[in-house]
Amino acid sequence: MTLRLAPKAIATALFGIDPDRDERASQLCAETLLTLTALEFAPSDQLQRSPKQRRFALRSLVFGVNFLSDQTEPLPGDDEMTAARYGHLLAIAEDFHGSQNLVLARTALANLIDPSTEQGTPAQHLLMPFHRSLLWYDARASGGRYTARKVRMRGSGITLARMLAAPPQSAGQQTAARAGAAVEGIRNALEVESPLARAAEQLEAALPHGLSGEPQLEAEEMEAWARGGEDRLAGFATGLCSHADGVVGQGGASPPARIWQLRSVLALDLAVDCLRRAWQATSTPAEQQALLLAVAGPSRPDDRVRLRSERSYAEARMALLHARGGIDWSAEVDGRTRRRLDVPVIQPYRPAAAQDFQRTAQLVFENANYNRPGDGVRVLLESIGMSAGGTRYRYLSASPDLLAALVGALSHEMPMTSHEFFVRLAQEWGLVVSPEAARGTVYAQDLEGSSLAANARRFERVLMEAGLASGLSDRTVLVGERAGRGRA
Amino acid sequence: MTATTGEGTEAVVEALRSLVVFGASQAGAYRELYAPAGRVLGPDIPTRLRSWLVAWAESGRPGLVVLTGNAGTGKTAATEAFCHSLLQPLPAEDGLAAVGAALVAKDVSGVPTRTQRGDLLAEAVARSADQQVLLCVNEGVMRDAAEDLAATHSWLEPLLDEALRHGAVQRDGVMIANLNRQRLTSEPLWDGIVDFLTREELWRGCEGCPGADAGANACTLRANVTALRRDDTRQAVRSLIRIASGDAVPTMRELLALLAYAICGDASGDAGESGMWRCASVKERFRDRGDSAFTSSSAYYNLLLGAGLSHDTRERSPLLAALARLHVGAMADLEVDDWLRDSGRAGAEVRQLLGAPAPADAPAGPLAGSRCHLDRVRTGDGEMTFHRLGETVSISEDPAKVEACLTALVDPSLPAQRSWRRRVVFEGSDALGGRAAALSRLSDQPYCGDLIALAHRVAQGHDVVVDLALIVRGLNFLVTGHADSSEGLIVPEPASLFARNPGSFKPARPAFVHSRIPIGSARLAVPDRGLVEDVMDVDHVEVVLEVAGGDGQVLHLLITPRIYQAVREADAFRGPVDHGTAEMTQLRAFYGRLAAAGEPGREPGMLVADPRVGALKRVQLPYFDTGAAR
Repeated sequence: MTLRLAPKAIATALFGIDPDRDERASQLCAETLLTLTALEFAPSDQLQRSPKQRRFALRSLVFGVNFLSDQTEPLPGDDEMTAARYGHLLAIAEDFHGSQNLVLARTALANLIDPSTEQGTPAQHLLMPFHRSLLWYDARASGGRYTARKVRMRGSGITLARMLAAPPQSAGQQTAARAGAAVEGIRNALEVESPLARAAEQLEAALPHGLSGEPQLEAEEMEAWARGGEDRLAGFATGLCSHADGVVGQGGASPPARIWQLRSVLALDLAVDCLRRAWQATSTPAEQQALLLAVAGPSRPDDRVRLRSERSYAEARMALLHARGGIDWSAEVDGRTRRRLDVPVIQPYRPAAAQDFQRTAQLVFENANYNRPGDGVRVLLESIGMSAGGTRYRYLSASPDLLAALVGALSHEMPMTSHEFFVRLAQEWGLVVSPEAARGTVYAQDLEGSSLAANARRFERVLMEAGLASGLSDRTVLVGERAGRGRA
Repeated sequence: MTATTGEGTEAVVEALRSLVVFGASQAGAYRELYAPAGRVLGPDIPTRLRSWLVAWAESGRPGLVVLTGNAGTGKTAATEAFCHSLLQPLPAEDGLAAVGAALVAKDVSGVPTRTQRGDLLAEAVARSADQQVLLCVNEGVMRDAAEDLAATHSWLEPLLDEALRHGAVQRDGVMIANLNRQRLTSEPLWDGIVDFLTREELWRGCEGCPGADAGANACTLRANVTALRRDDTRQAVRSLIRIASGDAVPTMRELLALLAYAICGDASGDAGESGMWRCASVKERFRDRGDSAFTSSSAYYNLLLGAGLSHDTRERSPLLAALARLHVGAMADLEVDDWLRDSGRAGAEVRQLLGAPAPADAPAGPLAGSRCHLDRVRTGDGEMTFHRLGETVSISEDPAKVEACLTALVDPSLPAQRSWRRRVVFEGSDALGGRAAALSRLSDQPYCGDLIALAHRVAQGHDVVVDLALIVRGLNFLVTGHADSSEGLIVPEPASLFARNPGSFKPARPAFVHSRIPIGSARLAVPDRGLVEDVMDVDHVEVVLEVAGGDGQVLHLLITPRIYQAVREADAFRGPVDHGTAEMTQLRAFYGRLAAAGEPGREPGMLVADPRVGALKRVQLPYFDTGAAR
C-alpha cells in the first residue's frame, strides 16, 4: 500500500524530486556522474546498471582503511596475494610489488577528498569528482564487510542523470539536443588524461574481475530513474540541460573547473526548482517569488540589502515548510511518522471529530517531520556557497565559485554586460542582485534603488576580482568573455 | 584669469570645492560646467593625449580617432584642446559637428537612439577618408554601434576589442584609444596634476586669512597645500595611487576630486554639512578658537584616504575603495608607535612631525611645539599635539587625562594612532629608510612598492631574472606548497590545484604535478607597450608573466598588486598567505589553461610535489601483471 502521508511521499508528490538533508551538492553531483558513467554516457531511457561504483582498492589507499578485508579471492597477477591482503597493504601504504612512495601517493590523493563530504565514516567520504575513475558510491560496513549502498546519496542524482541522458519528451527537441551536448561535455571532462586517473585505474585493475559481483540495480534506483522522465519535471529538465551544457561547453576553464561548476549548477537548479514548486503550492504572490542575494557591507545593521536578504531566505524556507500541508487522514503513514503522531494526534483522533480537518492537519504537520526537504534545500544552498552569515543571521550570497558556475551556465550567451547578467540571473534562477533584476519583485518596493545598485557594484567587484569579468568603463562591466569566446 | 590676489584664494577654494564629486555640489568636475573653475585654476593640465591630438589637428591628416574610456578620464578636455588648436570652441551639441575643417562628436552617448548612434559612427567612418573626425564614445555605446554595423563594418568590433585590451590600436586610418589605460601617475603628468591644485600662486592667502599673522600654516587649507607641495609627500601619494591603480581605474575627475577634498575637507563635522571648509568658515573658526581650531581631522593625510566620507560614498568611488583596501596606518609598527609614546627616542625631524617642543622650551600648554593642524589631535581633554598625547598616555598620573588620551588614540572613527602613522608615511618616510619602506611597514601591502620598481625595470629592459625566479618560486608555493624555482614553473594537475588553499593554516599537502616549464620559457613584460605609450601617459604598475605553453601558445598571467603580494608572502614565509578566494580563482584559470596548452610536455608517470621535504618525487604503484599499465 502506498504511504501517502509519509513525509517522503508528500515531498515527492509535491516536488517531483525529494531533496534530503544528507544530500549535499557533492553527493548529488557524484550520484549524477556515477549514473552517467554507468550508462557509458550514451543517451538512453533505460538504466541497465546500478551506479554503485565501489573502488575499494583506491579507497583503501586513500583512507587507510581496508575496504577489501573480507575478500579472499586471489589477485589475477599474484596467486599468493588475496584481495584482502592487497587491501591491507594499501591501507598501511607499505611499498610492495614494485611500488614506490605509496605513502606520498596516499597523501596526494587524500588531498583531493571533498571537505564538504567529510562527515560520518570514511566510507561515505568522496573525492572531488574530477575524473570518472575517482567516483564512487557511498559504502557501509556491516559485520566487517563493506558494501556499496545508499547512505547519503538518496537517488536525486539518478533522477538528474536521467534528465540529462533522456529528458522528458515534453521538454522538446532543443532540450534533448542540449542534454546530448551536456552529456558529451561531461564525458570529455571526466575522461581527460590524468595521472590521477591512471593511478586509480591501476589500483582497481589488480582486483579480480567481478569481485563480489556486479551491484544489483534496485527498485528505488529504477523509480528515481523513471522520475527523471516524467513530464511534470520537463521545465526543470529544460533549465538543467541548458545550464549543464553551458557549464561543460564553456571555454577558458579546465575540465576540473567545469565539473566543479557542474556540481554547483546541479544543486542550485534542484534547490530553485523545489522553491518554485513550494511557492506555487503556497500561492505565493509572483512578486515574492525571488531570492535576494547580497554581498555584505561592513555594518550589518545599516546594510539594508543584507537584512532584506536574511528575510528573503527565511521567507523561502517558510514557503518550503508550509508547502508540506494537505493531509488525507485516512491514508497511511510510515512507522517513524506513526510513532511521532501516536500520542498527540492518532490517539485523540475520533471519527466524529474528523470534520475538523484543518485542526487535525495542523497537528499532524506540527508533530511529524515534514521538513526534511526544506533542510535538503538548505544544505544544497550551503554546500554551493550561497548561504552566508552563520546560523543566526543567515542570508543569501554567491561565492566566487558559484558565480563562476553561473557565468559558465550562461556561456552560450556570453559575453554580456553585468546589467544583462544580473537580469539573466533573475530570469533563470529568480536571483535578484541589481535594481533592474528587482523590477517586478517585492525587493524593488522594499529597498531603495541606490542600495540595490551598491549591491550590484559589490557583485561586479567580486566578478572582476575572480577574473570572471573585466571593468571596461564606469558603466560597463563585461562578464564571461573567456567563458563565451572560447566555447568548446 | 588665474588667482593671484588675496581675494583669488577664496575663489580657488570655491573652485576646488566644485571639483569634489563626493557631495552634491560638483558642477566644476564636468567639462561642460567647468569654465568658472577653469578661469580660477588656470590652464589645463598638459597630457600626452592632448599633445597628440593637437599635433594631429595641426597636421591636417585625415582619419578617424575614437576616444573611449570611463567618464572623467579626460576625453572631452582633450577634444576641447583639439578644437582650440583649430581655433574653434568645443561644439555645444553631442552629435557630429563641424569644427573648422574637421568633424567632432564630443559625446556620442548624448545622441538619442541606438540607430542614430550607429548611423553617426558609419558616417564618421565614411567622412574620415578625406576629413579629420574625432569621436568621444563610451565603451558600451561604441560596442552597440559596432555590433549594429557588423554587416558593413566587420573590422570595427575586433578593432574595438583590441583597443580595449592593448590601450590603443591604429589601422587603415582609424585609431581607437581606450583612456582607461591612461595612468595619471606617470612622471610628468603627476607633477602637473598636483601643481594644478597646489601651486604657490594660487595660495597666497585671502583677506583676514589666519595665516597673515599667525603664519601661513595657521590656515588648515594652506597647511595642507604646503604639505602637498613637498616632494616626499606628493611621491608618497603617487605611490598609493599607483598601487590602487592595480585594483581600479582612477580617472582624472576622481583624482582631482580626491586631491581637492584632501585640501578642503574635514572629517570632524565642524565644517558643516558639506564636509569641506571655506575661507570664511576657516577664518571664523580660527577667530573663535585660535590654534586649537583645526586638528588632524582636517589633515590631508586622513582626507586622502576617505576620512569624513560615508561608507557608501567611499564604496562608490573605485579609487577611494582601492585606497581604503591598503589600510594605510592600520598596521602597528614598534618603532613608529614608540615615537608616539616617547618622542625622546625620535630624531629631530620626527619630533617636529609629532609637534614636540624644542628641548630648550619650557613646558607649556598642550599645543606647545605645534606647527600646524597636521600635528594636532582632538581628545576629551582638549586639543593637543601628538607629542603631548603620547606623553600623557605614557607618564601622566591623572587617570582622567590618560583615559581621554587613550580614547582618542583608539577612537573608532579616526584613531589618533592611525593619524600619526599616516603622517609618518607621507612626511616622515626618511626616518624609516625611504618611501617604499614606510609604505611597506605601515600598510597591508608591504611588497607593492617592489612591484612598481620591478615594472619599471621590466619596461626599461633591465635584467629581471632574479625577480622572475622569485615570482616563479612564489607561484610554485601558492599552487603546490613547494617553493623552489630550480624545477621551473611547476604546473600542478588542475584537480590538485582545486585542493590547494594557500591561506589555510594547515600545512600544504603533496600535489600531483602535470608538467614543469623551464624558467627560460617564461618572461616578464609590462602590459602597456607600443602605440599606447605614444598616445597616452602610461605608468607601469603591473607586470605580466608570459609563459610559452607546450603547444607554442603564449599564456599570460597579469600580476596585479594583490597577486604579487600573495606571491611574495608565499616566497618569504612559506606559510599561510593573505590571499583572496578571487586570486586563487584567477590562478586556477591560468594554470588550467597552462595545463591544457602544455599537454605535450606532460610529465611521464606520476610526479608528486612534496612540500614537507621540499622535493618532487616519483611515485609508482604496485604492479600486477594483469594488463594494467605501469
